[in-house]
Amino acid sequence: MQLPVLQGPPGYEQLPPLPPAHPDVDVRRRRARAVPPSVRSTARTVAEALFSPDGSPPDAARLEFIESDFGDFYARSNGTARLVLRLSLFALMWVAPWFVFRPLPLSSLSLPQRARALERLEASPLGPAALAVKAMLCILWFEHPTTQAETNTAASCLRSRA
Amino acid sequence: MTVRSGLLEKKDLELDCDTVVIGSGAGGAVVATHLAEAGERVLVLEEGPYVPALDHGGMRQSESIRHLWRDAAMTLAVGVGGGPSINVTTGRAVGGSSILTGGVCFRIPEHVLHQWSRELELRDLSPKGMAPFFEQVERDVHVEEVPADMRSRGTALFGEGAAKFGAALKPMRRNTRGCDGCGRCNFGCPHGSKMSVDVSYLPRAVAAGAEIWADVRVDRVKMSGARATGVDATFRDLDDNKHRLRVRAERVVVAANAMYTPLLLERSGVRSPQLGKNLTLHPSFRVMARFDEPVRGWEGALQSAYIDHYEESEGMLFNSLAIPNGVMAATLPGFGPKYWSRAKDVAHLAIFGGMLHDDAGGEVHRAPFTGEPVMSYRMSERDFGRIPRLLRRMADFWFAAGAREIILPVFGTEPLDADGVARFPFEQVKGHQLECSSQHPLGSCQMGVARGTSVVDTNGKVWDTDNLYVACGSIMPTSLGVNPQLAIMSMATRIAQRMKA
Ligand SMILES: Cc1cc2nc3c(=O)[nH]c(=O)nc-3n(C[C@H](O)[C@H](O)[C@H](O)COP(=O)(O)OP(=O)(O)OC[C@H]3O[C@@H](n4cnc5c(N)ncnc54)[C@H](O)[C@@H]3O)c2cc1C
Ligand code: SF4
Repeated sequence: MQLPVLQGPPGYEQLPPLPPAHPDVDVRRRRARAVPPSVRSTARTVAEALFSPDGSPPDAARLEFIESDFGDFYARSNGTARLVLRLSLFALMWVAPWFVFRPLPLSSLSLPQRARALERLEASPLGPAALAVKAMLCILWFEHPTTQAETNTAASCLRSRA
Repeated sequence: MTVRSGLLEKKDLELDCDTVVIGSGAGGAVVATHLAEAGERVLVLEEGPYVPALDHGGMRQSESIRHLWRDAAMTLAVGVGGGPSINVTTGRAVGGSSILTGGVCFRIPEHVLHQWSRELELRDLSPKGMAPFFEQVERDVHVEEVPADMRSRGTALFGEGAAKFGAALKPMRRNTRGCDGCGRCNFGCPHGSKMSVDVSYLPRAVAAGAEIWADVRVDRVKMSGARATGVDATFRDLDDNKHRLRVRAERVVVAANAMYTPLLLERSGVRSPQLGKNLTLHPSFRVMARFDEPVRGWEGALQSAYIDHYEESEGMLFNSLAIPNGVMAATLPGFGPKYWSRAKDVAHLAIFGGMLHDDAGGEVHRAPFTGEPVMSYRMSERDFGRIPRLLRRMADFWFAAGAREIILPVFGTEPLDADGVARFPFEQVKGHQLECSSQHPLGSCQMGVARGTSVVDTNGKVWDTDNLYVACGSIMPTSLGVNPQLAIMSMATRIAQRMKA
């Protein structure tokens, strides 16, 4: 069935939009909760391995950015998200090394060993834990202007490009 | 005229109104608008924050996720009985999940309405009975067809592949006006082009005198026998002190979505054997493909086309979509240099989604200490059996369009070329290996004709109450097989009309 395109009710376009928000309720300026230091450091440990371009760690300034932004993300998330991230980070820091027979924290492994340990965890039934942390780190990494320039992924609209 | 926020108040409050609506999403906003325009004093209480439409463009995608997506998009329906666990995402803001949609607007398919009106005896919900409500909502939110030149390159390629198998790519109908094709609808439209309820309905409600309160969480509906007399809610001020809001109302409408509505009703003393049961999710699977050319999947209307060739016969709908580059990159397997060498080519990745028209296998429970909802989902054998076919089909379409390799939603699986797919043991994949998502929790407070088998009657009124209504996705009598916002808004329009009558 061919459905018609309908226009809004008369006068609809003239209605004022909802008003601006009071500056004090801007979501980005709201109080954030405390972040345990281990959250930031584990995020950095995983990011070093994940984004290593050639076996050496990525640029330090980028790692600082991701560590602090991951912390902010954690600080602003509530019950379920905090729990998921916390358990996932724990699995990556403490369980992943067992997959390469190194019962040590992930941070004490070399970058190639870390990558191997995390890959094995990813392919195990603990895969969702790896995905939760990896997804967050990747979103933040790909939002950085340097990554966008490197990967040719800066935001753009089809119509304005055309 | 403003949207008020609990954060800006400093003491306990008491308010009076004719109707209090809990939740400002697709269902709540529509009911609030119609009642306010009919002259009622309407109060809308929303747990999430208020972000004006044009402020979304100032937020990075991850900022939207951390501030406006419930649980920062990490809610899980736990798979039981061997099925997959499912990542269920919803919005938590003024406008609800509506602000996060891809704009897709499907009418409820006729075969589903026939089932409702004939088998379930919901006589008024026939194709003819629902048509005026679909039309009204389509007009209100400006549903238009996405022109072919607004499709992303990835969508066009999937369509080319599907056409070789006789499946036609059809233009999507979306609630947009002046869409620029920048593919970030799921994080709020930066141009205000998506006609989500905060842009379409809520301004009308406010213009008609409704008051919207953000950052206020309703704890329970107050009942006196069969009568709802108002709600008890809480909010925190800027110094994090907790306060109470008591609302006295002639009528209460719960529209807190399929995850929260059943728990709110239960906390309010509603007893129904069906409360929280019959949850459907439209389990969805994405299959990505790597092309030699850059496809830049974010350039285009986010969800511009679909294939419903297999919907009625096999319960499968294929929808175009775009997800943040970071999420696409995250689903590539591996860590370190080999991973990064693939991930940096993310602009070459195209993506399409496949969705199942599922049986009702889910249930909403209350978590012991937090009181928050916990969902379980038992995928039916029929649905689980459909997954290999769905994934194979999508892989075939991609290869027919010239993809070099595809990435399946199976944890830890390397990208596969055509031979690899031919050898891949789809039937042996276990539920826990599947990466599965849902944006459509529905049906946990089903509408029906008998109190034993449903939670609300055909007018959306909770059985055995005088004036307590439900008007969100939770009332869907069955799974829809298509994206639900238009269905929810249309059912809410119908419920509002019944209230006014
Ligand atoms: C990312 C994403 C993309 C989507 N894309 C599409 C699409 O393209 N097309 C489509 O048809 N559908 C889409 N959907 C689904 C669609 O948005 C939802 O089905 C629809 O908005 C649900 O409407 P609702 O009224 O049931 O709930 P919601 O819109 O989720 O609104 C419920 C509101 O109630 C609030 N609430 C909950 N509990 C309380 C409480 N105790 N007190 C106060 N407030 C409370 C919540 O914060 C929320 O804002 C998408 C969903 C998501 C998450
Ligand atoms: S694709 Fe269109 S509707 Fe979506 S965010 Fe971009 S301009 Fe807005």
